[in-house]
Amino acid sequence: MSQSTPSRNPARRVFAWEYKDATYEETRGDGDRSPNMVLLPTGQWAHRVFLVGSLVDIVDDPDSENYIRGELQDPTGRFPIDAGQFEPEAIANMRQLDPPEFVAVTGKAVTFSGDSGPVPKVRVESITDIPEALYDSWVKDTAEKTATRLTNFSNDANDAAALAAERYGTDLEQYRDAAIEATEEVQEIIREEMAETEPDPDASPTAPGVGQD
Amino acid sequence: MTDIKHQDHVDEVREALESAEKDGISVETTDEAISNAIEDHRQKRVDPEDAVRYVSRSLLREAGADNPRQYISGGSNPSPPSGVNPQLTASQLEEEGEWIEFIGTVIEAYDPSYSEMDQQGRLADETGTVRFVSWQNSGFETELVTGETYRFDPVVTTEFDGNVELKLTGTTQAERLEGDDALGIDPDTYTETIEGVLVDFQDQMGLIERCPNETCRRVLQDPTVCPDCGEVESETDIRTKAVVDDGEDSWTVFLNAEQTDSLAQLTFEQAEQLVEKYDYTGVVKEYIVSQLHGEYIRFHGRDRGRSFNVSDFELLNPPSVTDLENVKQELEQLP
Repeated sequence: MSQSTPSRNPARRVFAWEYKDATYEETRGDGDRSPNMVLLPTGQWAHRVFLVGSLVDIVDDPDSENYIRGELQDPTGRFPIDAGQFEPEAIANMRQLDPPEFVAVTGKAVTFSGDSGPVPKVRVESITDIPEALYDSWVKDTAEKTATRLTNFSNDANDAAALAAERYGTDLEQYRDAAIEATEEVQEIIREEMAETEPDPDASPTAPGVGQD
Repeated sequence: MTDIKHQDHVDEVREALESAEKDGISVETTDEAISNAIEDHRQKRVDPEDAVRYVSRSLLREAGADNPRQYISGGSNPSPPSGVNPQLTASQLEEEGEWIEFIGTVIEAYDPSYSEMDQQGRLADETGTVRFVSWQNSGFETELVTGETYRFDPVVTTEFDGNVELKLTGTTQAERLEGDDALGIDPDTYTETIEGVLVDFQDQMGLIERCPNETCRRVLQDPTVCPDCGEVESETDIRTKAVVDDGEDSWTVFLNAEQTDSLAQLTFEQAEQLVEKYDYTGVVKEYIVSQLHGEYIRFHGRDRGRSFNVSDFELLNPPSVTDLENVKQELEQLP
């Protein structure tokens, strides 16, 4: 194992409602592989993101062999995703998917130039169809990570948050509310599923897995 | 101003060189050369602060200074320890350049990676583990023994590859704690836990060929030749080489055939059937990736910094309504 290669950048967890506002991008660090990062409005740099949601669109232009794009929806909004000539496996995998489908995406956080300025998107590294339950796990995970970022936002040492406040004038409340709504939506779905599988109205409203943590 | 690496440290080297000029010692060099020299040290796990000293010393010596040290200000660390250092646990170690007190048990000692290195290994306390390192001629003399608990005070934190570690120097006092004062951590049974998502998969996984020698077991590119053992007849095996990511850190994990089967439901026989059906070895990796990408898993084992040595694992249950309620309440309590 090489000791001198830089450590891998972690995949951040972020809801679409927040990610759509992550328009500021910067090359960070002084290494040979200075990574490109987008700044999340709640104050964290993201080189990579991990997303789970419903793949709702695939646009595969027959004229461009080496490009494909699509859209992933989470409880709060949609992520534009795409893959290009450097991600042949991602292109092949995206061609095999048939929306709508539950998918997990690991990808690079990047922006592209839109009509009215930079627009964040996700450049797909890995995409696979997944069981529905992972959607619930991701929403819980992403809500927790959002809560952590919001908690740390006002720390004096949080340079990313200071820059986010400067660049975006971040209104934190809307990202908190979006995360709350996402958890409520998943709670509702779980309750409905339980009602279907467990018609007894007096049954204890708990899902399998409670109390295992 | 040109953008140069380690500018602050280059300036410190410049200061040392300038202070020697009053004695008629002049050094011809460029900021870039100094910066490169500091970077060369960093690549060998030497802190830039220490590299300032080594680079200055060598430049001054080349220019004919008899006692280069007199021109080099500052010690080996950003700031000297104060009288009382905060006692931190492994999970609290986040800042570099901090003088602290640390109590931990040596759970592993590895061979030095470089000739300039003296000791390295990992220390554990109740909250986690941290890597330690000491360098030749650093003045740290205590020979650390695996299984023993030590109180280090003061000890300075450094950062390498994004991980905070402890650097033991001549300033560091290491006191061995015995009896009830020892932490009671057994290096043979000690395990750590990480939780995260399998976000990525690497080469040399799926169906692989191994050297058949019990002591080697190296993964072979050419199934007839082991670079270590020579001509061999390889054994086919299955493994997974994945990246676990918790949103803050990531680790490489290796899963053997049995572990891969229990997570991806793929026996050796089924893997061979896949290869036969698609006439393509890579299909095994593709199948494992399709089964495991995006899964939330809790791993037990040993943290080795960049990689995690897995002894056991379990898939995480999807959240219950109550789990989500807890997160929701945490969010609602935020201002």
